[in-house]
Amino acid sequence: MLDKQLMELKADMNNSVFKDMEFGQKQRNNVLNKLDAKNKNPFNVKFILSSTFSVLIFCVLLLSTIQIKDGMLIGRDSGSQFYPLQLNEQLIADAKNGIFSPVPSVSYGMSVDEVRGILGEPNSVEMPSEIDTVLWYGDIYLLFTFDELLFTSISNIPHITKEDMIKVFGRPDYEAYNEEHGHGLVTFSVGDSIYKKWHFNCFVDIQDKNTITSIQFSKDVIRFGSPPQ
Amino acid sequence: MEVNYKKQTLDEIMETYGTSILKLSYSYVKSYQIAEEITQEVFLTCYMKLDEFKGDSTLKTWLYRIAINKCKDYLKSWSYKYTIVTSQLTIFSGDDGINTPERLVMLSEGKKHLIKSIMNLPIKYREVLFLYYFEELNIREISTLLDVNENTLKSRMIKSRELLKSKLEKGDVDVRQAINGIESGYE
Repeated sequence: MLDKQLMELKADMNNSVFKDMEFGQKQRNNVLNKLDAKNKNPFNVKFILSSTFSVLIFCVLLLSTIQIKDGMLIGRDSGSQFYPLQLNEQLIADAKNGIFSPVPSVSYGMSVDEVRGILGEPNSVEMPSEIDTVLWYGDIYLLFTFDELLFTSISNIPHITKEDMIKVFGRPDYEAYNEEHGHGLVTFSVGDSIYKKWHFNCFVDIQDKNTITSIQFSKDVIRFGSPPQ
Repeated sequence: MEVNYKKQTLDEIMETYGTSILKLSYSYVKSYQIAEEITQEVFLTCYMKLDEFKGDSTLKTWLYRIAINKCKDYLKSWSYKYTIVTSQLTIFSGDDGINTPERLVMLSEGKKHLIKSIMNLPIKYREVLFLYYFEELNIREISTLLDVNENTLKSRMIKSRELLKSKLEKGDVDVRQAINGIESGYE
């Protein structure tokens, strides 16, 4: 009985689950359009970021000292000495205004112990092995790569609004308000494909729909320094 | 390879294999929208790597391997798990096809049950059944495609059939209960 049914599986699935499922002209054109877009912009973001990173590291190697100011990232040279690299003025201004600014990590591949050596003990107990991305918010937050589902929430952030997030990340991926749960959920994402994206879940006040009460990150966040005021 | 010629070649490849890749991807991710996005990515990768394709395997095998890897990456990603977690908040629904009654309406109850049971199997059991019975690949071809030992695949095939049989005999017992004690693969 099972054998017989399995032998007919192809026909049965094609007539039901896969009925009318087709990768047609529209989908093929989408792929070709994406290719055209790529061909028009051969210098993709990754390339620019990695090039920028290389130039920054080169500059660090050339300069024996560099002034430490607020708004710094940590980079390293080939001898695994660490030097602070200044962020650009816009990012610093954003940070001071309490706006989240995702910035390219110049610390990619740095171990947690190396980070600890520079920044001291983190507030978080979660210690994954590598830094993936730096997120700036008036203080240094380091996002790490993750193996398991890890939500990290930051709450008590009354001066961040949904509008602030939209200015930085563009339109949200998803927005829903649930009276029953007493909050709204607004999701933003960064990344160029479905499985490379990382996300913010912003829980917003159900009444004004703009004040963000807490944020969940799709990656683990380790925060150093004092929490934002 | 000249750009226009390469694009034309890609278009022909998409026309030949697009729907198969879409169905294969769906069998992994169980969402039409995600499967379509993955399929598009498969062909973008195909375009970028076409010059590197040496013909060691058939083009179909090569494309299937890219698709399967992308599907598994997706299933291991936060994005997929996020869908499950947030569904508890009644916000997202991950499965947009297999539970759609109208798609299964023309099948007998037994066949509906079978397809649902297969789609609810853990990936490593589902994929071997799908590739064998739907894609009509033999064990050796599946072994090449998944880079899994043939004996391991035979063993998975036996377990898959046992799970299905158990499900079909016991009627409404959740297949996930039946696989207690069996390693659950990616899910």
